[in-house]
Amino acid sequence: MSTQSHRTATGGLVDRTKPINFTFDSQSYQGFQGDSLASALLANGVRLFGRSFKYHRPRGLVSAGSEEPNALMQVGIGAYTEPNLRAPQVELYDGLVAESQNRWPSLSFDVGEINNKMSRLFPAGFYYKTFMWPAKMWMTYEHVIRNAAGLGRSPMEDDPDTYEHHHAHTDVLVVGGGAAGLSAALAAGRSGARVMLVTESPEWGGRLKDGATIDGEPGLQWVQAAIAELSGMDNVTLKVRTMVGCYYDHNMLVMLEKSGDHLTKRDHYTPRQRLWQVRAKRVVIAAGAIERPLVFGNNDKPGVMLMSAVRTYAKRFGAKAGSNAIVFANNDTAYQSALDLKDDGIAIQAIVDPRADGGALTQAAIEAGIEVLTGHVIINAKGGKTVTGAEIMALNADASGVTGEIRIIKGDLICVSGGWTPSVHLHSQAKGKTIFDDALTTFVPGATMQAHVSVGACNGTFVLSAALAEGAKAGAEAASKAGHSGKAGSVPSAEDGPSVTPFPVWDVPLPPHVHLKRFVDLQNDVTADDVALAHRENYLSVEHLKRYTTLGMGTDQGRTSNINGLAIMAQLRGVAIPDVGHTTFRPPFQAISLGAITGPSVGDHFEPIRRTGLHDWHVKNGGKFTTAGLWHRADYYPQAGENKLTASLREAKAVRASVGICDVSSLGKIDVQGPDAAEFINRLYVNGFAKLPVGKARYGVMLREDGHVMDDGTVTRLAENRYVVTTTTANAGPVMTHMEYHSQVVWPELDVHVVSVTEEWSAIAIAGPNSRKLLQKVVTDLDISNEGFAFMAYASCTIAGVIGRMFRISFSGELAFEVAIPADKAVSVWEALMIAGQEYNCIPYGAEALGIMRIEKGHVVGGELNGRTTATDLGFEKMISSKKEFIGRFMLGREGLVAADRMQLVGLKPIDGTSEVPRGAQLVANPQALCPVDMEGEVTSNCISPHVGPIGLGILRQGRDRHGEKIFAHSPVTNQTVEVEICHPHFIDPEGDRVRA
Amino acid sequence: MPEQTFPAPERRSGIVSHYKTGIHGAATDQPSVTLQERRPLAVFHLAIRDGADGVVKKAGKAFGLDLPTTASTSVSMGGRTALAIAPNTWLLTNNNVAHEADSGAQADELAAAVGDGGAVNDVSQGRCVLRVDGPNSRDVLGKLSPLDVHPSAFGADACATTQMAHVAVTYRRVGDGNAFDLFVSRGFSQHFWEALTHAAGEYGYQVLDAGL
Repeated sequence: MSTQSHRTATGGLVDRTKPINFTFDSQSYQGFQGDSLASALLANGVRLFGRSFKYHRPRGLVSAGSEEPNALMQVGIGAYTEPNLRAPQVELYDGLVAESQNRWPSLSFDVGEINNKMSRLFPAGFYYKTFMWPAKMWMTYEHVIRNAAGLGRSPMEDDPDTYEHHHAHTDVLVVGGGAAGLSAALAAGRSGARVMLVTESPEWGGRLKDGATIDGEPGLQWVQAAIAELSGMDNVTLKVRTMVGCYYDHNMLVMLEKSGDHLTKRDHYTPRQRLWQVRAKRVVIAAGAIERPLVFGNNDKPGVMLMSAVRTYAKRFGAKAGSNAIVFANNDTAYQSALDLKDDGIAIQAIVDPRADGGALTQAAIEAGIEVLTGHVIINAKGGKTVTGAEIMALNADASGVTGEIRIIKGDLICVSGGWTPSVHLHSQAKGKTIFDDALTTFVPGATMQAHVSVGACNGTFVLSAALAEGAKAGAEAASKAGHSGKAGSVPSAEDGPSVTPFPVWDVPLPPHVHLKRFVDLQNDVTADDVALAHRENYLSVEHLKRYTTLGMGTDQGRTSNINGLAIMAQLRGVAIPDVGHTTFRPPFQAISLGAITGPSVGDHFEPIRRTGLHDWHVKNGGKFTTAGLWHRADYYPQAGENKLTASLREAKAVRASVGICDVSSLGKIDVQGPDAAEFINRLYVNGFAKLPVGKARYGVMLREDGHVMDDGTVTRLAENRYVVTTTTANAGPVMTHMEYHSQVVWPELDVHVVSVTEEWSAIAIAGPNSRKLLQKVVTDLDISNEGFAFMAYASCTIAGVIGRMFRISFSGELAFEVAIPADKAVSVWEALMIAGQEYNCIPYGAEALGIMRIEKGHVVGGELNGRTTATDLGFEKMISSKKEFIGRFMLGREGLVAADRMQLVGLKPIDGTSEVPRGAQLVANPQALCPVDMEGEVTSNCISPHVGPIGLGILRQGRDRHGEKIFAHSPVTNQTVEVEICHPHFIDPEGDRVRA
Repeated sequence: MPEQTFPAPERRSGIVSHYKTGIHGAATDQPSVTLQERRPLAVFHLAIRDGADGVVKKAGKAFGLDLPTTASTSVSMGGRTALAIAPNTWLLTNNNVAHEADSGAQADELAAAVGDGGAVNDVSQGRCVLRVDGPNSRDVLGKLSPLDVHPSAFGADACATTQMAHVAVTYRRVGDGNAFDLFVSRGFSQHFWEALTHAAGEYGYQVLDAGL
């Protein structure tokens, strides 16, 4: 275990009494409670954090936030592992296992570093140029390139964690827990508005944690008081570790709360992450700003860090990024940090400032004993796997070149500050405009499109007192606009900090004949030369520059590189920066894991499962299920040694031999009532219903408006003005919608009400020659003899002691009945039927056997009702009424729908009597013909019938006139070809004697 | 016709095989969510022709409660509750109906009162009604419902229909407290029960005996 050699003597917000053990690249380290992975590694003297994407150059930590381009880590092991986590954002926990990425065999010795030596072979866009030919090899090239330039790996195991989804509604959402955000939340909260305040950090305060003075006290005291006050308000919700990632239309925002990532162990009830969908009346964005690096030779060496990050690590975490620092800064903020860092054991060797006269704090720095080199720049960072010093030269008068001798100053840390970039991401996602601020040399929020406002540093307001005031004003206004106008309270005073206004040196000039890599985008290994190359190759648009060079891509999305990159582009083009523009900010601000997006909708909850009232019985009795839409239907009930095929054959046989019962609850049932119910029904179906008497059911076919068949089912007249309509399982929803649409929109004059009663009634089919005998044992108050209860009769009656509905309808082609039972008592009735049926060897049969029997009988379902068939195609032409209006009537007569060569329903039998008719096969005259082959038809249903052997249904061109002909059923999917005979689609009892028995 | 006797048929809830009374979820001193299936409860779907105000009055009289006519509101009295779920459409519930025969009789009474002016359907066994109560009830609903259930937006006796856990749920705030009654289609009731108990898990929850 290594010691924490780079801890400051005292200070920081870490708890030094609580050591935490972790490993990095298999080596054990110790940090403290409150550390980030980055700060703990820094405190242990670690400098090398990773290898760069393309050139595999050694890289160290740059930042202390989400802008980190280099220190990307694979964290966690096994199923818990996650790649590309930014080390500054990973909270340290006991037992944390981190690995560096993109190196082999090890971080300090990486074979891929050869790419750096050969970098002249890999200019921007090299793979577009190099791997153009032969085109078909791209798939191979791409695989190799991706391997060489990978960033971490995804776990292959199922995710063991849980994730939650939340919806939240608030008057004011305040994004950011720094000075401006807290100030806004206080004002809005005091006004009485519902407020949600979120920060992506584990603690509140933003940069106030790095030292500041408010109302004459340390800034953190004010933070604590503010949080205490906000916590006491019922109308305020506080969320830490919560990143607002997406700002969508209508002020809908998505945020990710990392509720469990920082824990060593998470139980089932501690979600790893929560995805919040927030609807906010107003949004106050206080997202802060990110410091810009400077572009100079070898500026990617481990030890070149943002000045603000060095400060954060020292002040917030008590971790020293180095011992002897050279500061390279073009603005005053870095001076302040340099002065403040003296107490933390980081010696400042020099401040290198390109401004000829320095700035407001130059004198203070000199007085503090720091050497200040105004009018100078660092042209090169010296060192290998860590910085050892800097090469410094004087800038010439117009900053276009460097002059004089190179001076070398030794040090193990170069702190850079090139100015500050407001985080306008959310503002821009919300379609807010940006405007270029000449003083800040960057983009700041302009006009907004949605109900939001930016405050503090993200609005270009860097002075603390101004940020506090701006936050308070925005918070009060947001509350007021949301309808709350309580007293917003006072605004604290603060010492104004140093000026952030930079003197831009976008691309530090080099002496003649000196070539050094000057990185613009560290994560994507894009150098100033790459930008120049893109310019030479005529990439003018910033969007093209991004795609060509990859500048601004990756996990950091160019947070530290975009402004520098487009400023260099602007220089090369000789235009102003705003004329180059910036790329589009798209959600999310940071990556959101797929687990969080999926939330709890996994496993059995991937989609809802719809269960019938008999579901538990099927489970208990060994039923296997199939899906029909969301329904789970009993498919077959295997006995010992049976599979799906043998079980369903046995079931179908048993039904035709004696009797079986089947759960048909999933069929749609729609109650239609009203004085105009009869007329309504009549208009829905192609066949006439006006004369259907009460107590009778009739089969009906309905069309879409375009004349194709929509669905079929039965309509039963329960009373003069009341019907119940059944639909196929698949079409229950669409038919209901169809009916509601027509009753509400097309025929509002019809007085009719349609209500889905599918869920109220369980339905059981009792089929087979002994079905009546069985039912007669359990039906006590209805004569169900053929005379008393003819085919298609309906009556209400008592079945096994339960009041239900009895229909004499048949789907199997056998003598059959269907009973509808209020769902709670379906199991009782089903069990009574099974007991009563014992003497007839009654069996339960599933959807598979039901399917076999309906194919034997030539009944059409989904395969035939495929949206392309007409009533005539399916043999229903005699049902079509010519005496009434109905939906689809006019389109039915279209030329194409009455063409002589339409495909019509046929039966299919294999010539050899034994081969299965291939599922989904195409019907062709010559299966050996060269493509394109004339497809005369297709197989829509197939099965092996226990009664007539393998059979199928199909639709075939002019099929009805071709019974007796032979044709080939060829499946290009399974490469099966079977010669079949075209026949009548009714294989069993074509006269229909059985159903009327 | 043969004389047959049958054991008294048993009413089975759609979630009975997953309904385990007692304390579940994260270990807490006191579960802050209670869940209960409300049964046996008579539930009627009532639709009345647009503009037939007289029929609305008659139906209310037959049911024993003046029907609310403002959308997304409900009224409750003496164990009877009426939810205005859509224009001219109500969901009626009655705690005082223990047997479905009685529920059928009440449906008939309602139908008689409504006559040709509307349609009555007894949907008592097609709906699963679940009560969510306790200090964290709104947090549980916040995981499932995209609608705002804060008292400032969802007042006493408010009701709404929305999607929760990918299925349609009608729900009602019971009075002005933490309790909400959720109506879900029977076929989805087990799915929804699993989603609901998952959502309540982190707060610790108690499942009460099914009842009223």
